[in-house]
Amino acid sequence: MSLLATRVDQKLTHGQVLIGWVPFLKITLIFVVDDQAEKDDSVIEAQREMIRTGCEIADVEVDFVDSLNLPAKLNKRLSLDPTSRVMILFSDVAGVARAKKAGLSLSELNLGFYIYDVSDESLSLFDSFKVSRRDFADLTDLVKAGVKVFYQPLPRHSKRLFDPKRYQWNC
Amino acid sequence: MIGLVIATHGDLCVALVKAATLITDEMENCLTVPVELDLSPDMLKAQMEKAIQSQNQGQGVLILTDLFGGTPSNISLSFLKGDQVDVLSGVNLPMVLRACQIRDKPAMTLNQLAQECRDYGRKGITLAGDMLGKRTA
Repeated sequence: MSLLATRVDQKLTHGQVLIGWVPFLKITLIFVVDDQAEKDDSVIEAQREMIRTGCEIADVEVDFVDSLNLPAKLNKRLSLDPTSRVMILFSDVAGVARAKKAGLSLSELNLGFYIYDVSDESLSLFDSFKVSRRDFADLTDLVKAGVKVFYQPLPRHSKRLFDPKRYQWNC
Repeated sequence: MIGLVIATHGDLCVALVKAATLITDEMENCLTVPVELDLSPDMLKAQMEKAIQSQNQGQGVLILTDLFGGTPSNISLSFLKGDQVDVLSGVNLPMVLRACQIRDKPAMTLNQLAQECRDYGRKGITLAGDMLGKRTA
C-alpha cells in the first residue's frame, strides 16, 4: 500500500476529488479526516452516508478517522494491505497539524479547497484557499518541517508552491 | 406548483433552462444556482436555502443537480426534507422538460414528480449503435 496524496479540502469528496484525482492516481482508498466535535451524530452520519455513496459510484473505498488516530490507522492499513493506493483528505488545515503532531509522516501536502470565513481576518493564499492566522502558522510550520506544500486543484493544473515568505503574515 | 431549483457546477444550470425555454414555455417558479469555486460550503448552503425558500409555494421543491458526489449535490442533500424537498442528481434536458410538463398537474406530489423525472431522464439516454444493432439482428 502506498500513500499517494494528502490534501486539504473543505468539501471533502466532491467532483475535483472523485472525478479528477481518484482516477488520475488510481486511488483505491480514501481516508476522510474530519474532526467534527461540534456537530451532532445524525448530521455526521448523514454526511458520511452521502460520502460513502459518492465513493461507491467512483469505485473507491472510504474510511473515516479523526486526526489523532490517523497515523496508527494508516500504518495498520499499510502493513495489512500492500496493494491499496491511498489518499488522505483533511477537512481543514488544523487537522493536518494535529495528525502531524500525532506522528503522521508527511512529505507533501496538496492545498485543494478551503475558505476560512469565520471572521474578517483571513488571508487568500490561492484562488480557492483562504486561511486564518492559525492556519497560516500551521502551514508555515509544515514548510519549516520540510513538507512540500502546494496548491493544485486538479491534476491538469501545475503545482504552485506555498512560500510563507511571500505573504504579509510571515513573521 | 412544485418549485424547481437547478444547482450545477458553473453555468450548466443556466444553459439548461435557456435550452428548455427553446422547446417549452418560459419556466416559472424555477431558480438556477450556479456553483462557483470560490464560495465556502457555508455560503453555498445559505444560497441554496434562500433558493429553496423562494421557490416553495407549499407543495415542495425538487432540486436537480448534475453530479452525485459533487458539491451542488452534496450541499443540496443537506436540505432533504420529507415531502418538502427532494434531490435528483444527473440532471439532463429531458428531465428538466418533463418537470416543466407535469409539476403543476393537480394532485402531483413531490415524490411522484421526482420519480417521473428520474425515469424520464433515464429514458432520454440512448445509444444509437444499440438501436441499429437491434434492427439488423
